[in-house]
Amino acid sequence: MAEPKWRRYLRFYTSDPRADAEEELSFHIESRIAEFRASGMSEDDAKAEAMRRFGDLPRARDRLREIVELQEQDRRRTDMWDALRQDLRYAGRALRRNPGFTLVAVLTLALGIGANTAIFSVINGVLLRPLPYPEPGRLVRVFTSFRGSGTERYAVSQPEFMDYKGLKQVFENAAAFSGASVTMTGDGEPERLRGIAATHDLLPVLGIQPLYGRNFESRDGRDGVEFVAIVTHDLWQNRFGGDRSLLGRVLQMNGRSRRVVGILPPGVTMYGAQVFIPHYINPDSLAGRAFNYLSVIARLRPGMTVDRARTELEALTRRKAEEFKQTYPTSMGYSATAVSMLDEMVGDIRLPLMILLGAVGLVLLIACANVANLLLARGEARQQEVAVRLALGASGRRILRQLLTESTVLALIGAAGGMLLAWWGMKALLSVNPEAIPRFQEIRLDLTVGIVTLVLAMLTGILFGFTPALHLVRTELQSTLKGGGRGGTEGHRQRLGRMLVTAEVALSVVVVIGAALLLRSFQELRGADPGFRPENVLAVDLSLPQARYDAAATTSFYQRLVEQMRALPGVRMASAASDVPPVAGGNNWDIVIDGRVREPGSTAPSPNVRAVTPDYFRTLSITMASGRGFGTEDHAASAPVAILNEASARAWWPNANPVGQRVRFDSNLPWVTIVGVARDAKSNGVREPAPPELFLLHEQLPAAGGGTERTMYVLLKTTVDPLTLTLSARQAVRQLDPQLAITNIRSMEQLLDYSVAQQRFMMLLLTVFGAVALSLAAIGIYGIMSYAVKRRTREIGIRMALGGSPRDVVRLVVGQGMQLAVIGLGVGLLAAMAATTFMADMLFGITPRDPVTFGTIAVLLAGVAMIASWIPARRAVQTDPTTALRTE
Amino acid sequence: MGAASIDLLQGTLDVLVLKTLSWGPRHGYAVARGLQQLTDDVLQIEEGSLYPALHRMERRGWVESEWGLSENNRRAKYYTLTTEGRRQLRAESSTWSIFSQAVSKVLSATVAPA
Repeated sequence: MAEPKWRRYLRFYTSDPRADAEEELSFHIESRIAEFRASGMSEDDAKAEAMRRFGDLPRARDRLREIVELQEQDRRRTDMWDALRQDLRYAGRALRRNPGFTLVAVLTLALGIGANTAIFSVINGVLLRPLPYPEPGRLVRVFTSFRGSGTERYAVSQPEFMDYKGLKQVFENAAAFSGASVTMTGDGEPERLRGIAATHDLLPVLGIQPLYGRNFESRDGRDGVEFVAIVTHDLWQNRFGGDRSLLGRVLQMNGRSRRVVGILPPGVTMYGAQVFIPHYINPDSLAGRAFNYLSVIARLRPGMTVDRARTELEALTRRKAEEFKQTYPTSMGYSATAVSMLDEMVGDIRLPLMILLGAVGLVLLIACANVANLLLARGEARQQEVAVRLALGASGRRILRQLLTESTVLALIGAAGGMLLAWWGMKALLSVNPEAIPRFQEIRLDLTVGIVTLVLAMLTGILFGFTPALHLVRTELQSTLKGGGRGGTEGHRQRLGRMLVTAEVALSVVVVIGAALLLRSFQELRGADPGFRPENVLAVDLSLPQARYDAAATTSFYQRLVEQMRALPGVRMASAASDVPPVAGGNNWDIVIDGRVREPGSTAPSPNVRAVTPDYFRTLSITMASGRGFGTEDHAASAPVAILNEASARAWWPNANPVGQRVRFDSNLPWVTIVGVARDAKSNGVREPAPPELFLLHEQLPAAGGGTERTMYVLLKTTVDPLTLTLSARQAVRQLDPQLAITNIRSMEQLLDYSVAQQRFMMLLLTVFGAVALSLAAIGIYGIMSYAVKRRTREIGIRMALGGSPRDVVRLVVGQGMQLAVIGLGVGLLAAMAATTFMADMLFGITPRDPVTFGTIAVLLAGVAMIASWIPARRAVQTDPTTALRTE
Repeated sequence: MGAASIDLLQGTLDVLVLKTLSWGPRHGYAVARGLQQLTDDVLQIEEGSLYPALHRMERRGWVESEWGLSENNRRAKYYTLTTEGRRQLRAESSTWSIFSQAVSKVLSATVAPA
C-alpha cells in the first residue's frame, strides 16, 4: 500500500508513536473513570469498573505496540524508497545539466567497466562454468607419467588402462579413447569430421545418455560385429537437417559402412568431437605395454579426491614397475597421475586470464581516479548548491547520500556502455582468434556476468564518488561554521587531485609495462628462427581411409599426388610429411643402436619419427648439418636410410658423427643406415626446443618400420602467394580420389600464427588495456594541470607583467606536472617489478624485469606527462597579461 | 477461549467498529460507548481489544487517524473511515446477513430435513 507522500511530515508533530499509543489508552480509561464518577460511583469503584471493562491492559498494550512497530517499519520503507526516488531524480537532473562532464565520465567508466566485464565473461565461461556433464567434479583424466624424462602427462597403453581401470576403490568407472579423424563420404562432398574412438563406456562415464537411439554396447567394435557410430546433435542438425531417419542409417566413414545407432542431446560432446565410434579393447589379447596411444577418462567414486586417486595410482604403478622391469626401466620413472578434467582443459590458460583480470582491475582503478578527479573539479561549481541545501536543513549525511547516488548512476550508465563494449570487443577478438582459448564457445554475457558487472558498477560508483562527495560536504560544513573562507580546503582539494594523478601514473606504469613485456615477447617469438622458412609454403592436410588404402596404395597415392602438385603452375617444389613444425604431434619410437648394448635400467633412445618424401627438407629450406639428404638413390626397393636432426645426434652421439651408423626399431626389422643430420626445426612451437627427431622415407616405411602413414601434410613451395593455390591443390586431390576430404589447407605462415595464437591473444588484449591506461593517465595529468594553471592565471599574469619570460612560466608549470609524474613513475616501476614476476612463464626471450622495456616505458610515460602539462602551460602564457590580471 | 471463537470475534468486532465509524470520525472511547449503546450492553466487548483492532485496520488502510481535541479538551486520536473501509464494511455486512439468515433458518426449522 503506497502511503501518500505527505505522511512523511506527520512526524513533525507525532514524534513518538509508542507514546501516542500509551496516551490513547490512558485517554480511554480516564474517560471511563470520569463517566462512572459522574454517575455517582466512588473513585475506587469507578477505577475498578473501568479496568474490568477494559480487560487485559498489558495484553492490549503489547499488541498495540506490535502493530505500531509494523506501521513504523512500513513507513520507514516507504520513506527510503521516496528518498531514493528523489535522489535518482536529482542525479538525473544534475547529470543532464552537465552533459560534457557526464559524457567524459561515462565513457571513461564504460572503458574501465567494459574491460572488466569482458575479461570476467571469459573467466566465467572458461574457468568457472562447470563442464556440461553431471557431477563434473568427479571426472578426471588419467595419464601415464615418465618422470625420468620429466613427462608427467603421457598417453596410456592398453595394459596400463586395464590396470588403472581396475582401481575399483578409486574409480567408479573408466573409459579410454583416442582422437580419430573420420572422413564421411556418400552423399555430397566428402567431409572430414572430428571423431573420437572410445571404449563402450565413455558416454556412461561422462554421464551422457543419447537423445535418440542407444549407447555403445560392450560387443560394439569387435571383429564380426556391425560397425556403428553415434553422432552429435550438431552434426545431425547441420549435416542431416535434423532428419530422424538418420538413426539406423548406414553411413560411409573412412571407407567403411557404419550404422548410426545414437544421436546425442544438444550441446553435448567431448573435446569438440562430432562423431563417436567404438574402440574395442580385448582383455584377453591386449596390445603391447609400451604402446602408449590411449587417453583415459575416469569418474571418481563419490567422496574420492583427486589427491587420493594420485596416491593410489602411484602405489599401483610402483608395483607394476617391479612386475614389468623390462618395460619400465628404473631410469624411466614410470608412474601415473590423475588431473581433474576441467583443469586438464583450461589449466594452461588460468594464469594468463588472472593476469588479464589484474590488468583490467588496474585500468578500472585508473578510470576511477580520473572520474574522481573530474568530480573534484566539478565540486567547485556545485558548492553553491550544497551550501543552499545545507542551509535549508538537509543533513550532511543526506547530501552525501545524494552525491553518492549520483556517482552510482554515473557508474551504472557506464556499466551499460561497458557491457556493450565488452560484447562487441569479445566478439571481435574471438572471431579473429578463436583457437587461443579452450572452451571459447562457453564465453557469453549471461546473467552471472550481468550481476557481477552490476555489483562492480555499484562499488565503482562508491569508490570514485566517496572522496569527492565527502570533500564537498565537509568543505561546506566547515565554511558554514567558520563563516566563509575556503582557502584551506582549496589546498586540500588540490592535494587530493595530485594524489589521484600520482596514483594513476603509478597504476598505468604497471599495466603499460606488462603490455610492453608481452608485446616485446611476442615480437621475439615471431622473430625467432623456427628452423625452417615458412614463406610461400602451402600445407594440405590429408588422411587416407584404411579400408581402401593398404601400405602400397598409400605409398603410390602420395607419390602421385606430390608429382601432380609439383606440376601445378606456381609450384616450385612439393613434398609430404607426417608432421610439420611448428605443430608436430609427436610419435616416439624406441630405437636400438647397432653395436650398443642397453644398460639394464636405462631408457631406450626414443626419437620422434616422421615419414617424409624426398624433397621435404628442401621444401621447408632445412639444410643438412652433415651427410646427405634423401635422394633419387633411395626408394622403396633400396636399403632403408634415415636422417636425424641435430637434437637426436646430440642426444645419442654426443661425441661422434652418426652418419654411417645403423639403427632399427625392432629385432625383426632391418637395420636402417643414417645418411645425414638435418638442422633442427622448432617442431613443438617456437617456444620449445627442438625434440630429437628421426626422418624416414615414406616409401621405405613399410620395410623399415613395418607399417605406413596415411595421415600426411602435403607441402607446396610456391612462387606466388601460397593461398592462391588452394583451389588447384584441392582439384589435384580430387582428381586422384574424389572421395577424400581435405580438412585444412593453410599456409605455413598461418600455421606459425596458429602456434602462437594464445600469445597473440594475450598480447593484443594487454596492449589494448595498456593503451587505455596510458590515455587515461594522460587525460588525468592534463586535467589536473589545466585546472592548476587556471587557478594561477592571475599569478602567471603578474609574473609575465613583471617581465618573466614565457619559458620560465612554462618551465614552472611543466616542472610541477613532472613532479607528480616522477613520483608516480617511481612507485609504478617498483610495483611493476613485483607484478611482472607473475608473468615470467608467459614471456619469451626477455626477462620479467627487462631493463630496456622498463626504461622505454618510463621515458614514454614521462614524455606523455610532459606533453600533458605543457599544453595548459603554453595556453597560460599566451593569455594576454591584462586579461589574466582581471581574472579572480 | 478457542482460536476459532477469537477469529470470529475479531472479524465481528472489526465490522462493528467500521459500522460505528460510518457515522463520522470518533475516538476509541466514543467507539466503545457507541457499541455499548447499540448492543444494549448485550455484547460484552472487552474494550482493550478495540485498540489493536483499530490500529490493525489503520495499517490495512480501512481507517485513518488524526489527533484532535476531545469534548473535554484533551488530546485524543480520532478515527475516520476510508473509502476502502467503507467497501469492507459493505462486503462484511452482506456476508454477515447471509450467514445469520442461514443460521436462523436452520434454528427455526420445524421439519427434519429429508
